[in-house]
Amino acid sequence: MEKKLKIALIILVMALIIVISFGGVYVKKLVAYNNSIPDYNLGLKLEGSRVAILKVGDHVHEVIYDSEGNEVDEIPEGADESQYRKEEVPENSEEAKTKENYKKSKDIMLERLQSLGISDYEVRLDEESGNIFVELADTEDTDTILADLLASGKFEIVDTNDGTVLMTNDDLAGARVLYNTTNSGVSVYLDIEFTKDGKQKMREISKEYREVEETEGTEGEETNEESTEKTVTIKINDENFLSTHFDEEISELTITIGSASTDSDAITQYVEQAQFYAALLSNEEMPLEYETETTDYIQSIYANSIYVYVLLGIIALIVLVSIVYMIIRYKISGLLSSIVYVATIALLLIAIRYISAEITLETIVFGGLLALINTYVNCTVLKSLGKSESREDVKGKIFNAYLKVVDLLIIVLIASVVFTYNSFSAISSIGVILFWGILTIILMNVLFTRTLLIKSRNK
Amino acid sequence: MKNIKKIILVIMVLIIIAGLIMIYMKGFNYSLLYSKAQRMNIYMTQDFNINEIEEIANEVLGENNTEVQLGNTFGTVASIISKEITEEQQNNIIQKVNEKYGIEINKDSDIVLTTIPQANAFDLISRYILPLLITTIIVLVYYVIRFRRQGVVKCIVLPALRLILISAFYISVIALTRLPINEFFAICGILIYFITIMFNTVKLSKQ
Repeated sequence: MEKKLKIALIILVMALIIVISFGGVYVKKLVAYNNSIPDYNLGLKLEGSRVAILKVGDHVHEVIYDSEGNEVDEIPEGADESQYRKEEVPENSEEAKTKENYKKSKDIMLERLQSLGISDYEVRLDEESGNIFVELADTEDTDTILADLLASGKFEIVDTNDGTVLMTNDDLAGARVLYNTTNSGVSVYLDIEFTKDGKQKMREISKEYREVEETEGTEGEETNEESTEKTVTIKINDENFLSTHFDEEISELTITIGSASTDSDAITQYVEQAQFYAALLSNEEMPLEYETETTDYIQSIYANSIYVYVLLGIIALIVLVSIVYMIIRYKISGLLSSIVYVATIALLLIAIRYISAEITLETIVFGGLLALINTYVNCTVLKSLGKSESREDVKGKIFNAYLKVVDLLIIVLIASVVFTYNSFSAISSIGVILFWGILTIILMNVLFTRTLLIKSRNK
Repeated sequence: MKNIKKIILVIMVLIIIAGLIMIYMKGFNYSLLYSKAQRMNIYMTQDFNINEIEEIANEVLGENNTEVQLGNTFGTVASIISKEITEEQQNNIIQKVNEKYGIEINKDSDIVLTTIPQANAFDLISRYILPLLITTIIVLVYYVIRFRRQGVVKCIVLPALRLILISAFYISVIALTRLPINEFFAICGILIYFITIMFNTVKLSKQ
């Protein structure tokens, strides 16, 4: 009696999992009932994306030279205009528009996307025109990311007074975002690292550009204190980023972004800002200026496509054939295994919604592979039972069956962990689905299939 | 049995060689969304049915040469992609859309034509190389630890050869059959990789 009760209880739990997964749990919120199980998180290829065409800039800048040939920002008021010469200079010279520079621009954009931690993107280059096609997931950050791609990434440290260039991109080794928690909150820093030569230059600059230089008069005379502040200006993308002096000799720059804060929105904003600069400074300066030609949201061709239904249909077919085979071949044991088999899929579908795993085409295809692995594990267990009637005998045989499949499960788990930690979402989504799938298969088999098969024996 | 295995192996090697020659001579056959194509965005002034726009595009450009997508989140842009959309074909599409919806699309302000560059097969594959390489190394190390009694050849050489052979065979078949390179190219490649390492594992476990 107790045995039958246990079997009934397990079947009831399995039925509950299946109903929750495929039906949902509806809870009344205000006036309507809503499903409290989260929705599936669809990836770029299944939902839609932002497609932008970035073209090589063709604008012309007006440059003004004085009578000595020096470049000036503007003609001073009241000055004789005939003493100044205006020249129209294209932002990208014809000599710079080469295939090498087009390719380099594309590579820099790819590296920036990687540095920014963007998980789903596609970048293509038209080698003839230099146009770059960028496809990104459509989120609230997409416009910012596109703007980041267009930035020149030019880095300079100049003397604030006379504009002498002291350091350039050539001196950079990279940049990273650092955090520090203090009593006043979290501080976000942009840490700029330099090459060996760059470090030496930085040391010299930090020695020279001190806060105050004090000049005292000679003994007996009136003491003279002259304060001459020497500062440098850090320029990023040709814009003044920061003007500063140094208190001590340094070989790398650590710049505070914003101020220490406990507000999570403010911290996120500072981190994004720091990541943007880190992505720019970790990669080379763009050899060409680019601008956006078009940017459009494009719905995925798979959004309502037959392909997705065909894939889901194939998985359903694998499941159906597996169940029918197990029931016909192994009768009651097959039926009990089949119930847990379906509940395993149902539990996995609940899990991937709670962990917000991204559903991509890859996820769907590898869902089919998981169904096959589940079938293989179940059939190995059922096959090993033979005509065993005693519970002790069944326990031993199930244990041996698990030993036969354990290597396969470990290998898939290893691969899933490697894939999960990949930054590209199409790859990590494969890892996530396989990892949780294998865990679910192991858990459901050991907890329920094994128990049901043992309890179903008479002796 | 051994002879059959040898014959299969020889056939596979021949197909791989032929495939490599094909890749060298003609490259891959890219699907429309991965090849150089033109995108014609029509900014519609009234509600429309994307299937009806698809019918018009298929009629003008040919069914096998066209993809139609919704062009923005508000559903006011129809985006037609084709290898080439000539001036005449553009006018035809505009005329048919105007007739269908009784509107007047202005070619200068309501139509945007852009060229999409071809995808690079290496770009599509390269992002998968590192995770596959790391996985392969760890799996081979696992084989050596777990099945060391079966010897280095069975633990490392044969599984690695099988992986290389089957991956090369898959790529060659795609090149030879001129199957289009699309999203499923990489997915199927990884699926084949997983099935191969699973097969290797089961084979070693049984021995």
